[in-house]
Amino acid sequence: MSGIVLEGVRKEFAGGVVAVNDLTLEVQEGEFLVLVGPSGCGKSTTLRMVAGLEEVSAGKVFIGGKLVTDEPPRSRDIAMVFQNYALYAHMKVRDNIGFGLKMAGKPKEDVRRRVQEAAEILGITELLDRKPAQLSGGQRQRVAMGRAIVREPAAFLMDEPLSNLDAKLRVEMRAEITSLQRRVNTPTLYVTHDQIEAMTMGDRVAILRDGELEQLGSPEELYERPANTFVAGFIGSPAMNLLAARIHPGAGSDRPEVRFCGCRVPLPEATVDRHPSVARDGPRDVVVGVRPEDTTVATSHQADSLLQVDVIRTESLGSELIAYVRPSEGFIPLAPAIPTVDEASGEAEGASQEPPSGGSTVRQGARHGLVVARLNRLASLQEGEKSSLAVDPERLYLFDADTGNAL
Amino acid sequence: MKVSRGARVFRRLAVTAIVLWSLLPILVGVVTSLTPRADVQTSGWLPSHPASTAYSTLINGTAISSSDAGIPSPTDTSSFGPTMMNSATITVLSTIAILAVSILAGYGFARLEFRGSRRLFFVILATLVVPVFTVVIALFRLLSTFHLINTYPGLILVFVSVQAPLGIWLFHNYCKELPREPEEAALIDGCTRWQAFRKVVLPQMRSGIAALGAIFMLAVWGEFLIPLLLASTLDTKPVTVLITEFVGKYTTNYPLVMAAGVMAMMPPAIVALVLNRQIRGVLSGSVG
Repeated sequence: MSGIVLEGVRKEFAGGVVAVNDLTLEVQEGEFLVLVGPSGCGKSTTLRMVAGLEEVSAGKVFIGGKLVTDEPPRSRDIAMVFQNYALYAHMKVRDNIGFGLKMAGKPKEDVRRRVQEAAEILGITELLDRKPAQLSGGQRQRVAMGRAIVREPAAFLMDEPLSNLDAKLRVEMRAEITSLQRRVNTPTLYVTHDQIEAMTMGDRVAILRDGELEQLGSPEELYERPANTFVAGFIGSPAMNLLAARIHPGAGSDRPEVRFCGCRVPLPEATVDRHPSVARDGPRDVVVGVRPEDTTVATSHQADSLLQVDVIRTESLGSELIAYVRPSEGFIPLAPAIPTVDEASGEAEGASQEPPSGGSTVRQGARHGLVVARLNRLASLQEGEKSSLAVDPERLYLFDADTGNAL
Repeated sequence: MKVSRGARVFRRLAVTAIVLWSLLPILVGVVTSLTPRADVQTSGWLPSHPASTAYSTLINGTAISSSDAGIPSPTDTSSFGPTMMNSATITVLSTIAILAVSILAGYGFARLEFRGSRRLFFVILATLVVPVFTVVIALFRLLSTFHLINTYPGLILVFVSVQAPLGIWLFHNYCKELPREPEEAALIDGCTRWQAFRKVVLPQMRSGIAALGAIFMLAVWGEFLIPLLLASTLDTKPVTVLITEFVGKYTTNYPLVMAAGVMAMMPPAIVALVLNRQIRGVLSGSVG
């Protein structure tokens, strides 16, 4: 058992507030695992418990196969990159990077050589004699990374390390961090509220809500097979449309169909095979999930399977068109299971002023009771007009109306 | 923002008035100290024959002879040098002690949660509102019980107890404003809490320490009431107490008193000038 292992970890703050509840998680050797979730879901608390900066109320933490639950941070053989870099302002870059080695009592020559090597990997050799105040945000980020990799720790912990960077630099650093992590092959626990970071960087992604693990899997698994409406709404940008629907089992040889917003979509055989109960049981209420990217503008306006909509607003992103539409009949928007943009960005207070890239538009859509469609840039939609959208039946997601769990 | 001419003139007049108000007593002191004793009552704003007699008397420690028969002469000025040294010693040691107590306690209250910490912090803050003169007799009895009257440790203890609550409060607020992350990074980098405090937190507080150090130094140097009661021997008496002894019952050597005042002003003025840069650093840091 190496990497990072959390066994039934719980954190209860004074006053009985439970931040993390019975969390079991393993970051395997060399794996890049991303903890993602909305503000207050307990992801940073989890990371701090792994670091030893926060006491664990119950459960066990193992790092590199060693039980470290009650060990102080210095005994855990970890390196951490903080959101605001946490550089030592009074020290030169060289001393910042070499501080951990110096504290470990490494010989001066060894420290000098390893600092130089880390600086070369990160391309910051010319900055070694500067103080942090003389560096740009991206350079500080690299120094913080240098401080982490130079120690060759048993695990890396990263707490939203890209939040303070501008959008362009964030994309660059995303790639740099993942390639660096693959190079050193050290198990990494990475916290973010940005689902795009999670999807692009993580070998696996763990989604937390209210201190509990909602789903753990590869980015593809989370996107293709969300365990519940929360995960479905969190992963994907713009996020999935969740609509009240009803399943009608087919009569005779007819296939069951799902009815929502006035349209009737026959369920594909594969879906029925996966969920035989939809054909067996009587009509039942469900939540149907439609990803914005699984919609197209229909050429025919008559078919029952099409979603008749009023186009409220369109936004051209150049490469594609985002349309906010209101179904003409039977539209019952569900309360978003995920926080709004304001709530989610509140976690990165003092950091980036941009909203998290995770499904911000859909949250706006949900707030205004609209369905969002991500369409071809040449789609002929006019604001204020009626239109028809086709949804791909193979790409419909079905959730239990009561529990929100995937069928 | 465009400022009207009238407002500019008013501002300049106001600044000039404030500067004059602050500097005039010092100027009068300097002029008087350079005026021969016999001319003090008669000379105008500037002495007709400036003399440095008062200064040489203080520096050389000459005994002052009685100028008026039958009238007791003021104290022998040979004490001036030793009392300046006493002042310097008491000030330096007290400032170090006040800073040490204030920084550690302020940091502790800001960062470490322990049972009753908030209550204890407020009790310490409450002592800020107690004027020294109301407890000075009690202090005298307390020190006397422990044979600490006329000793440096006794004086330093009292200065720490008087000044430290303010220091604890200010350092508590200062530490609250410091980001926690560098300290946490140091803990992860292999430091114990004490090492993280010494190697990372303390250097971050450098400008605050300089500013508050200067304030405490000036406060202790200028203190009069406490040493008047608790340090009466030449071994411990500071210059502030000695200067009052130059004021005789029937006659006063004004040039001497003023020269002593001017010389006593020099060390704090030098400290203020030297630390000015650091103090400005604190202010510029406070507004980002």
